Amino acid sequence: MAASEYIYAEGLTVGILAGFLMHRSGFCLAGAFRDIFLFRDGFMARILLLTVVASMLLFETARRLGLLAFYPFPLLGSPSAAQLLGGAVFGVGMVLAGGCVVGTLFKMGAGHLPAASAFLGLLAGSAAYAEIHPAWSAVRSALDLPSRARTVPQLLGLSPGVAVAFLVLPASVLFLRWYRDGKWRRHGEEPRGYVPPWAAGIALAALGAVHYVFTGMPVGITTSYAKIAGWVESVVAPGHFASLSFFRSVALDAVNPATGEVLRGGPAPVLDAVAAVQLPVIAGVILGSALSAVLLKEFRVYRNVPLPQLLAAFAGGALMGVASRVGGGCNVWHLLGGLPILALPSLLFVAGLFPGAWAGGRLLSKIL
Amino acid sequence: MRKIRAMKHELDIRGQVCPVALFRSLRTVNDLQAALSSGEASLEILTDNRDSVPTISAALRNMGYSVTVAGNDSFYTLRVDGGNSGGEAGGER
Repeated sequence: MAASEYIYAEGLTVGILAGFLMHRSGFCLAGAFRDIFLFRDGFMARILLLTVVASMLLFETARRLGLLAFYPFPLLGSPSAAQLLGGAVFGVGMVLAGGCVVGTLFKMGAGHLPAASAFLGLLAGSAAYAEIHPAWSAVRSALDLPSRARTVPQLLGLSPGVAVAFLVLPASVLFLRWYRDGKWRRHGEEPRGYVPPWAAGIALAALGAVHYVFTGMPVGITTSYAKIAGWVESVVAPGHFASLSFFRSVALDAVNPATGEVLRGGPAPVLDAVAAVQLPVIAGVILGSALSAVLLKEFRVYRNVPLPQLLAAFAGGALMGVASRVGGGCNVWHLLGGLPILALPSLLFVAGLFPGAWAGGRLLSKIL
Repeated sequence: MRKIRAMKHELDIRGQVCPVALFRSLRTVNDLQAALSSGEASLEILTDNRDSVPTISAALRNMGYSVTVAGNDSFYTLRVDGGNSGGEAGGER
């Protein structure tokens, strides 16, 4: 990429700020779904809804100002039952892992062993998907839905602005009611240096919009988990790695209409366009969270974690690794990237997250 | 007035994250419910998971317990006392 230095710097900055904010606020996307079923607690779900609506407004504003090179963005895919399946499996995984793909990163950055176990599971799951990729590709096309539209506005023949206004106005009334009822804060004690989750949610929406403007795509990171898994495999078992077609596939192949730049990349362990937009964010989230923990003098690794919890976290990470490939992206990609533009694949993935989180909660309560 | 010395219990969940941290806290409090309610016992929960501080304290207050939090070097201590027997784990918050 031309200007790749700027993309790396932007991704790293966005990642550091996001990791710092998530650590300070305890921003947990997995909790938004899990806590509804496990604890009848809708707090994080409200924060997630606020973040999605804020992203919706910011993305639409950026689109109107002509700041988005792609709309909808590349890598989104077409609507398919595969996203529903991917969301369900991902939902189970994120509950077992104790966090989603970014939750795992910021918790690992702060020194939590279960998150490190989940991270290894994510790499293992990405490597496992490479084994089933040919078989899954053959099945995948049969699961495509007949709609050629990629977003709800396209499906209904509406302008994106009309669709956004139609949703943002009633959401604003709901948010005001929650404000009046004191539902934007937990009525518990706060840890040192606490950032209220509602403020973190709005700031994360702004960071997501900045990333979309700079890179042409919202935040997504799981193809780079596959890259890391592929790199490990290429070192440990180069012969087997060479036989895997997944690592030769191309996920991103687009031309920036504004600059004429060719954006091309995939799960291959090379520094391509996918690596440029994802790897700095991954590194940034870990660094930002670690920085926050060190500044608070809270960074410390406790090793007395029961083995079943570490194994459950690893299994959850592995499920998320497979599900991200099956479902065309992870929860962050779909929740904070696709959902704000009402992308059909993302709506399907999110619909799958609910039964998945419910099943994951049932499973976890039996294991532990 | 007879002075009753409360028996101290400790739950060390340092290193553990949600939802297991909240799960184990609620389970321990439910196991000690009678002793906590009568004042015969108190419970200290040790956690280094920042997210657990507001979630556990909010959940236990919702169940009617008194919770105070002290920040230590790299972790937090949540002291749980009293409470009524009418609360239940969970509940919309």
